[in-house]
Amino acid sequence: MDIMSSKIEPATMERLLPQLHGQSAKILHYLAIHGKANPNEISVALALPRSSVYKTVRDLIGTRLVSAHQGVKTGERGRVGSEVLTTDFRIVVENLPGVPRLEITPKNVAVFDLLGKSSGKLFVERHGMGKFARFMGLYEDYANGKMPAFMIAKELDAERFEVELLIGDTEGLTRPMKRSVKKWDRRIQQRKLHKLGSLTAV
Amino acid sequence: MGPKNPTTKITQVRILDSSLIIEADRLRLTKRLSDYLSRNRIQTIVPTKVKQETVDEPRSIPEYSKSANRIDRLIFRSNAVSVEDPDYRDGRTCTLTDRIRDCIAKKSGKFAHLVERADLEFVTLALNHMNRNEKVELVFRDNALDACIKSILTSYRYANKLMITPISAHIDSL
Repeated sequence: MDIMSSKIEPATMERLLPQLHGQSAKILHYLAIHGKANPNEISVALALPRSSVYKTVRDLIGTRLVSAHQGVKTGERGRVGSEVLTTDFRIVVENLPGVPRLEITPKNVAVFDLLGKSSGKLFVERHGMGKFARFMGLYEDYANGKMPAFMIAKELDAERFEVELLIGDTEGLTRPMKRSVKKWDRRIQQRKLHKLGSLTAV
Repeated sequence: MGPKNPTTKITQVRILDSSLIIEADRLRLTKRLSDYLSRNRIQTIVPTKVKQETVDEPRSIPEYSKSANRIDRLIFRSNAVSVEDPDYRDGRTCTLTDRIRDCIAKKSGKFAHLVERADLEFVTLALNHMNRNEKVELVFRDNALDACIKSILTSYRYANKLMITPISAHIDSL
């Protein structure tokens, strides 16, 4: 996506930044890992309500962080006619205090989301935002199977414990909690039972 | 520290790196991990480096000292895992560890001397046990390590004695 190929207005950036946190970050990270998916798949895989996935996806399409391709070809997952979503962007933020350059891509958007979590906040408190930005770059290598966690710790002169916590929190973002999956399954089962009940009544 | 029950002959051991212990603590499942490892009949071993990374180093940081004490109490002092020093006297073991070091350095685009032997203590420990004809289950999270260990140890015919399990498999069982 070429939205960041030129300088953007602060107002646009303000609109863009909230899209890189929470549920949006989860969806972007999921798309980065899987390449493409439709909203239904995302909803099932991340154990998120379908309606809220559709709403978030609409917002992401609006900010051009996600592209929707209409019409599923034969052999692809999803119903024919349903949207297939892909993501490909690179946001470069330059000259922040203490951070000469910060690159946000779909692969490290989940790390960026850590800034709102205790592991990320503690890391920034101890090592500064500059090292956190470097961790964002190194995490891409980690996710691509190029660099082990102990090397990241060495590169950043941080403790292995801190790096493992950051990696755990990042990977946990797109791994639904067991409890929520069960709750989700239960809800689907209840819906099926309800349908069966109404059929029997007919 | 020796095996938990000296009368039983151990034919399989489980060797962990720091990732499983830290991940369990992050998810507040340290007690469950301790019970799970103690309940299991397979002896669980970690090298000294893992105790350093999970207890000694974080204990000196105020924000992490609580976690470090919890891990120490529930995992190490409860004897859920034993700490063992790797043995570097065997030339073949050292050659293999060095090959894995080279592979990691190449993958990450770093000089080989930046990957120290101490970083791969748990692999050396696994080799020590496999050389004693024991089966080893290695538990860790890194994909880079996984690829290097698999490719090198398979070419040296260790594949039938080694099983690699991702930490998620154990976390899901807790």
